[in-house]
Amino acid sequence: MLPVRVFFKKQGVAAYISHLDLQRTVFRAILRSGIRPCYTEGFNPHIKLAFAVSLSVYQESECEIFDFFSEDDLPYETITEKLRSAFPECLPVIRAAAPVRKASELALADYIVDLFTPLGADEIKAALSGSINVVKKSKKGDVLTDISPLIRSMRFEPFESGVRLFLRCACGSGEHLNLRYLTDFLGEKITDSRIVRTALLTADGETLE
Amino acid sequence: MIKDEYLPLLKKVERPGRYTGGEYGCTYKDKNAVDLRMCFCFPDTYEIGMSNLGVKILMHCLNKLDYLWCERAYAPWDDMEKLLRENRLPLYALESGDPLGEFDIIAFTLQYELSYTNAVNMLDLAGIPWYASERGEDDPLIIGGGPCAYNPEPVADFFDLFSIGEGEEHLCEIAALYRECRKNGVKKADFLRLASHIKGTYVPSLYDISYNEDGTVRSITPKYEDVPAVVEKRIMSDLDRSPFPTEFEMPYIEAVHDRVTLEVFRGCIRGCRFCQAGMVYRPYREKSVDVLDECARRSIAATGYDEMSLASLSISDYSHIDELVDKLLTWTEKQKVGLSLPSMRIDAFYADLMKKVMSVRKSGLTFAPEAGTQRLRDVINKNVTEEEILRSCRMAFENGRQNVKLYFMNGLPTETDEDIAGIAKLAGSIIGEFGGKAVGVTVSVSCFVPKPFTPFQWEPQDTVEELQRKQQLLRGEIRSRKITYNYHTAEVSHLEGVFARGDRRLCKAVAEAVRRGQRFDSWDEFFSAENWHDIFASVGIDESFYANRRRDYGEVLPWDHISCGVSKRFLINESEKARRGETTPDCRTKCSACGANALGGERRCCR
Ligand code: SF4
Repeated sequence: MLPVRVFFKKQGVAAYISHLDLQRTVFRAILRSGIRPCYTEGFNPHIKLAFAVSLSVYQESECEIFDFFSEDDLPYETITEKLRSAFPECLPVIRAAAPVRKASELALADYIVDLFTPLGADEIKAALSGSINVVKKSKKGDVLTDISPLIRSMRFEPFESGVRLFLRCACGSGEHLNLRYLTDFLGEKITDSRIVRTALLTADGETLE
Repeated sequence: MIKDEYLPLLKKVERPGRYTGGEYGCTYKDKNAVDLRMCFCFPDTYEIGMSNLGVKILMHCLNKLDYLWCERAYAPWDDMEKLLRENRLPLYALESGDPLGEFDIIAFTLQYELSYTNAVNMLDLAGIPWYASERGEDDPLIIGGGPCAYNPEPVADFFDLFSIGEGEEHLCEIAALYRECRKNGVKKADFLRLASHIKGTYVPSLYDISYNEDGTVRSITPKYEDVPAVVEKRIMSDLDRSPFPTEFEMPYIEAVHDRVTLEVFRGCIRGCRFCQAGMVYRPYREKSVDVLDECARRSIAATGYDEMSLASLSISDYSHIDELVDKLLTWTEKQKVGLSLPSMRIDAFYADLMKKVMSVRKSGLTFAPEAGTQRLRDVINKNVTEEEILRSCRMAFENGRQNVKLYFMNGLPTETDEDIAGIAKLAGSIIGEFGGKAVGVTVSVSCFVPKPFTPFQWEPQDTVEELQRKQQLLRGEIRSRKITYNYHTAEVSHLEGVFARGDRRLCKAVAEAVRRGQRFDSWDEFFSAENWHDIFASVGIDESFYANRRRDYGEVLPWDHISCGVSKRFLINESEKARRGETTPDCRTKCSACGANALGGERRCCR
């Protein structure tokens, strides 16, 4: 049983699929690759596989991660090759390797968010200073939550169609920010947005390897 | 893949994964390096279209031709349609993202009558003229095929030609001829004339239809001597050698049948008299166990699916079903691939097979007695007894099932109220027999629609009112709370009934419906009986003439110039036997000389 961590991108049309669809696609790609994955025990066995963190529909990424186990002790280069040929074009596999840190150590993520807007960087910056109150749906009903504490750093730059935001925020099983809340918060101020996750990090700011 | 200018639409629609393309397993070619570009259109949602094995097989055949690139398109849901129209963006093919209007050939598969409006609407969304007569030399050639092409008359005006029967070879022959003609500057009309010489080609514009005063068809005559008076369907004579896809487009979003479908045989040996598929797919032809095993392995390896269903009309009739299942189980269990066997026949159903399959995964058990009494089951030639039904249910319950689902039909020829009460009685006796346990029976009742090329093609369909009365009658007869009862909307079946046996005059109703925004008629959210009554009235169509009228054997039927291999004499004979309540043995027990043997075919049971 060989632990495998797979680094892959979610880009292009893959931005339009949900996390659930992504999971199904990944399961099938592994089975197509010819690598024999390990399964859970029990009456209805399924592939032992865990994503480091989910990514919502309309969001892209250059650094997604999932972990699984191979029945066979193959070199990681071989696994990488096999996976590459079995994944769709818009979910390219970067590499497969032995996990270094635990996936549960994931705490932060970096994003580049392109905000399509006639407003300038200063105006967007002003809109996002102070508390950012958004409505989160929960089992107890809708609750108003301030998401600004989840944001660790923000940098603003103009680009031809609006404002580009470089952002580091909480990510993982503990505190987590879905950037959809941020773009929803900006509402009418923007006409569209493009969200790309660029790094998954541990609490100490190291890339999750 | 979808082009950039369409991307902003995707954030505004439900399930954008329907429209992106870019799935694993798509075929890409250099569009400048091929002579012909073709698009296969499925006139329903992406999720339904992507579940269709027939389309995959045909696309595989076509893409094997190095001079042709075949892509896919599906009917956009109304949210996407609205956005496409608002933004003046044409419907496109999923592989290249190019508008359908740029293609040389567009092929529609017509699986059910209620997708006709979607097909014409897709032409509209592509900016292609609806009527064959309005299309010019530069417009794509529009081809129709699939089960509805056996009576294509209600949509004949919209198509340049129909492919009748199994299309694997036929479509390639048509493509080859079209390529040749285009190269030599042959006009479309002349190409169509030449195409009509290829067996299995029906070119509607090459036939004159005349009508009697009472509205029935008087004659269907070819306009030229070289055009065949009767178009005979095509079949693949040896299924073991039939092309089978090696690559499959894998949807990102969940398809309706998101699994490997293994086609075990074509046709059906049974001869149920209401069933069009059982007649038009004759003769029964099998694939051999080894070939099936190979196809199954290849499909699982190419897709990564963990589920496979053996799909054919009445799967337990396969002559080597035990051997096949055993062979598959030698590796599917190890690879954690679940096997399912849908549409089991009750009489051929046996415990061993069920246990084998059940050990892998629990899937719902369904049986189709179709009618509630033995008398009516004899009329429709569903050779199943009550004892067999009870025995099968016992096995199901003893093997840990809690629920069985039974399919029936209302409105079958000669049906009486007693037959309807019989449905409730039958379900009741299952509950009675196994009442101690926590078991349930689901009774699902559809409405009978008489179809062309069946022994019931001359029968009147019950009116909507009569069907609704019968549905309520049955509701009153069901007494146990353990029985769940559901039934189909009678109006939907009525509409299907109008089109199933319609003639060319119905084209104007289809066109008017599309104009008025009717789409997705098989979907509850879009179907409207009222709208359809208005549409028919506005174009002067009497619905009951098509749905509820008894035809004489001597009447010229709108599909008389098409042949599925089964002779009219056989159908009349079967119709007479039905009236007398006599059954006909299955093809394996005794050949009944239906005529389909003349079509040839390996591993069949014709004498
Ligand atoms: S020719 Fe005979 S065996 Fe063959 S399909 Fe017809 S009835 Fe069945």
